[in-house]
Amino acid sequence: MGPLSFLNGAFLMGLAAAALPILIHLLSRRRARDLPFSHTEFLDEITRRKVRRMKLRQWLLLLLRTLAVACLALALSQPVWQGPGARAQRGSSTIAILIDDSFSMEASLDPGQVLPIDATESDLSLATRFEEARQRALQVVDLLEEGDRALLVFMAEPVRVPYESSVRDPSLLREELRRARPRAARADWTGAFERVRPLLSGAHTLNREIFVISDFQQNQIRQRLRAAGRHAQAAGRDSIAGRLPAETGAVDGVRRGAESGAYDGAESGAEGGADRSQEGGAESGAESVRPSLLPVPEETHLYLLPVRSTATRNVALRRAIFERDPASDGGAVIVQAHNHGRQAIDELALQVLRENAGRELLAEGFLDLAGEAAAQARIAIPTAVAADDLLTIRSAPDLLERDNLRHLAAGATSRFRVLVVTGGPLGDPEIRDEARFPILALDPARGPRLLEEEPARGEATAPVLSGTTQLFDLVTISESDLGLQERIEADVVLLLNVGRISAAAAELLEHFHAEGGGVLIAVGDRVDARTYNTQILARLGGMRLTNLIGADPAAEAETSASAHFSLRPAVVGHPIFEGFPLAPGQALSSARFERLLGVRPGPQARVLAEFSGGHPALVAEPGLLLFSSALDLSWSDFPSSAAYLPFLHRAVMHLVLGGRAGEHDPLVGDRLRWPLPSDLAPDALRCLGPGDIEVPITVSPTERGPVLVTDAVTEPGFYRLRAEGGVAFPAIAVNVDPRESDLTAMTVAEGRTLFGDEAVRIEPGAELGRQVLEARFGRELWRFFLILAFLLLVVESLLARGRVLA
Amino acid sequence: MPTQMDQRALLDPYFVSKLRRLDLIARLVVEGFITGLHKSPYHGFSVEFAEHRPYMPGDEIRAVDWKVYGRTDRYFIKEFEEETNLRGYLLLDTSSSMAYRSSERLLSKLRYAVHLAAALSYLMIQQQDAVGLLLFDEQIRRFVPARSVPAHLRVLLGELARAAADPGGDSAETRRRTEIGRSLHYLADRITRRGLVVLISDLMDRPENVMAGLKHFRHRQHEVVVLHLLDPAEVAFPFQDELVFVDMETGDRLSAVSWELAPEYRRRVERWQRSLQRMCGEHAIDYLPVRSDTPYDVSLLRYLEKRRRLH
Repeated sequence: MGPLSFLNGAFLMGLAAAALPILIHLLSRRRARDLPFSHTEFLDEITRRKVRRMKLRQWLLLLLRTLAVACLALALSQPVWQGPGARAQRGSSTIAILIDDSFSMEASLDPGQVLPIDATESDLSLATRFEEARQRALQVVDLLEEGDRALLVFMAEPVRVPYESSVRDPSLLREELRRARPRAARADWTGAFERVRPLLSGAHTLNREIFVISDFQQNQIRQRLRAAGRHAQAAGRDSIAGRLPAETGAVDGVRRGAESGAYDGAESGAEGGADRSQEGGAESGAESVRPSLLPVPEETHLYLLPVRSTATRNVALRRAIFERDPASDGGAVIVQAHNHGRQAIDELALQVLRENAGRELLAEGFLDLAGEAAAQARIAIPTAVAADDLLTIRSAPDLLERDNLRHLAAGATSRFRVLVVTGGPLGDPEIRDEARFPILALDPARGPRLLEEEPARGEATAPVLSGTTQLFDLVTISESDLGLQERIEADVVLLLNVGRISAAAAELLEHFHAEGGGVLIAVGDRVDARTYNTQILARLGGMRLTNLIGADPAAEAETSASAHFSLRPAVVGHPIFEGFPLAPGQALSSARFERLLGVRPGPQARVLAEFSGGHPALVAEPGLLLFSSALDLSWSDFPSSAAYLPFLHRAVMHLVLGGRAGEHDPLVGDRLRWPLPSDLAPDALRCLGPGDIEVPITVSPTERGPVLVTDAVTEPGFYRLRAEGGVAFPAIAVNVDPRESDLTAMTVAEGRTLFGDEAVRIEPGAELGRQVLEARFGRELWRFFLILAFLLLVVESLLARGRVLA
Repeated sequence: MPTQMDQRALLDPYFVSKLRRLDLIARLVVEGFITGLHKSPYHGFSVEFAEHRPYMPGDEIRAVDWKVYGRTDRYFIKEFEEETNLRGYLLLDTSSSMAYRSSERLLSKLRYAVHLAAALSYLMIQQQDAVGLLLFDEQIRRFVPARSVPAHLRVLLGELARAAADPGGDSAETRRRTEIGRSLHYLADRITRRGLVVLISDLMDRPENVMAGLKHFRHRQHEVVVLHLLDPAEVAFPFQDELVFVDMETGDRLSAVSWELAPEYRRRVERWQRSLQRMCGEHAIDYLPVRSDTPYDVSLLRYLEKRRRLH
């Protein structure tokens, strides 16, 4: 932006109107008519004398009129001078305060924090991130001066804007801020900026500013970077920032790089490898000014005001499944917890509560959690659990309370979507034979139909009534069709003896994996190690395939080596092998494997099972499992063994629980859906949420019958559908978004990548006012041009009447 | 008998212009004028004494014969008979600029001049004066020597009618410039007997040329009356628009924003007229500015006034 800019540039087109006087002049010249006159000698003498003066006056008039119109157009376009001489002026501003009221902002500030020696009373009272955000927002409001306007945007989903247009009265904003409380929803970054954009774009003040006050959770920032394909760039800049301490120095009291180290070493295996894609994708650190990836209006100053977020020690219950025991009325709750802190936690206490009428403790369990890692516990429930029981799993309190509860409707079982990618179309008998056993094992109900018919998309996942034991929804697709998909809508992708894969499919798979999806790879005859390593494994993790290893019957005769390989656990206590009655060193099954592919595990890999001879059989990396033999009968008789089905189930469930399956459970901010019997009168239905608060509903007809849809729910808990006439509907458990639980803040480089290089980051404690007010200088020139236009018209009027130059 | 209003109408140029026949125009104008002169100071000034009559209210006091009053103690008015010893010459400018008229409601200067000259001719013939006519522009177009016989009037009116019917044209060939000086010198050289010269022109010539010619007449002891005839628009310059003025004598085109020129133009015309008036006064020449909407009696009166002074 140069020193001269325009707040209402559309009116610059009005400059074309400056040509009107010239046009009128030319047209009027053409209209001059002939008039016979007796004698023109006098006129001639006069004009000869006056001609210079008259021409001068005519040109002056023309110039004055043209300039007057141009000045009027310029005044309407509201020019602003920000060059020399404008420093003394302070232009009017329209500001948008985006305050993050997602539930992560409820996190307590570190109780052990060291406050500055000049800490005020308000500093001491800051108990949560949101309290600090509120104080910073009030500081921003205090900067408002006469003529300024402001609007407030609360970023939790759904985005809340208390006043639909900017307001002049700061007291309204202060009152709204005092009333605000964090909500149980996640932050909606894109939605918040999209709400702000039209409101700011229409503002005709000199300055337009956005203040974002948030804890800037790293996982959410990275999610947007990945969506924009800029994650690698941010990671690259991170490493540069790490090598250049000068960049972290204080600049005018604003510590721009104070948290540059937050990302280093934070990456761990359990989360799912957020930074896997940086390999080979890092862009050179181009130093041109990058714009924001969020919809920030043009010529808007963006200020990032992070709250203190050094404390990240938080455990969240990410997902829970009730596994009913068909032999009894009870069952077990499988719950996964994620430790976002760096320190390991021993024996995290877990409780399973029944919340039908009151709150009843059903079972307790404990879970060991490594630092920045997830683990799952299976808590057996000794008592009977009815289909309509409502269960809540609770963990020990920590920084953030809301994610220590996980609600679960016992009658509802999550079904997880598995995309089976085959080496060719299922119509091919060879392919069908390869896929038969895995498909039947994972989806015994619909598997036969999948094998007989053309592959079709699975049913939409939805809570199903108790009694259904099916755990997975399968969709099959050939590897050639995979690349044609826009995105992968599944929890786990099973690559079943897929030989080659297109670049588009590989990219899709990489994106899916980077977003937390699980990938299970089973090899076979079509798999070429070299191709696989470069096309697939290089994108997903560090492990590599080596050579084909076959059992040698001759060797068996000459040596003690076996003619086949057996499969046995390498990590006996791993959840995949839970329930297998195994003695140490005992094979998982009697299955005999004749061929396998050698695997070289990467640095993050764990070998969970191995074949005899020490060959890795099941290798795990974050979000990735590789089974180094075939899952059909071509390389072994494993499919016919008793261990095949539980092994495959557990492997897929391991990926499900370690991945993003929980994202498909109803979360705060979602709309709940219940299919309705067609004969049920919608008027008789009421949806009651936690505390029996009624939720607005609408009933819409669909091809499969009427469906009830609620408004977006705002609180976690159980939502019941009450109908007159005794029709029973399953309750739906709504939980908080686990993505809000990771309290780690973004790095400076990630912030610059997402918000653009021109965003100004102002750390807590830095002087906000000076930084902001200095950027608001500028001289609005519309009054000057309006007065000039008026003066020009006055002079024109005098000149036209002959009072000037007379 | 025409009423007072009718009499005034006969002197209105626009009204009179409705008549086609010039002799009729001349007669009506003069009779209207004479009737209006009844009880006026001019009655009988140009005739020889004939008899006395009793004073009647309205008669001028100075016309009372005080000698008779002294003798009889009664008021008697002297009455005169006409004289026949005046030779008058009407000099009529027929240049193209005389064809100008600014409005349909007005006569062109030429038509006005023709009517006026006709009326003067009629009046002079009626008074048994000899009347001559000179039509000129840049050259002498027609010269009719002065005669006093009644039949001469028809000759004069015929010439005037032809002049009125030929106002010149727009082409370079038909345009006629004004060169008064040359025409006056021509006539001054031709007439030797002292007489009255009436010049009817817009005087669109250089003032020094005009005055040189007039002085020539004065030098030969002629009495000179200048009727400076202008259209009202030539004086007031009422134009507002940007116009292209086309000179009727030269065809020159001049583009001008008229409202810008108007004040200066008016000043110049006024100065020009004052200058002419002053120069005429210096040489005992009667100068009468006449506009083409002026009633004829003003000019006729000026003629009679002049004639009276000649006696």
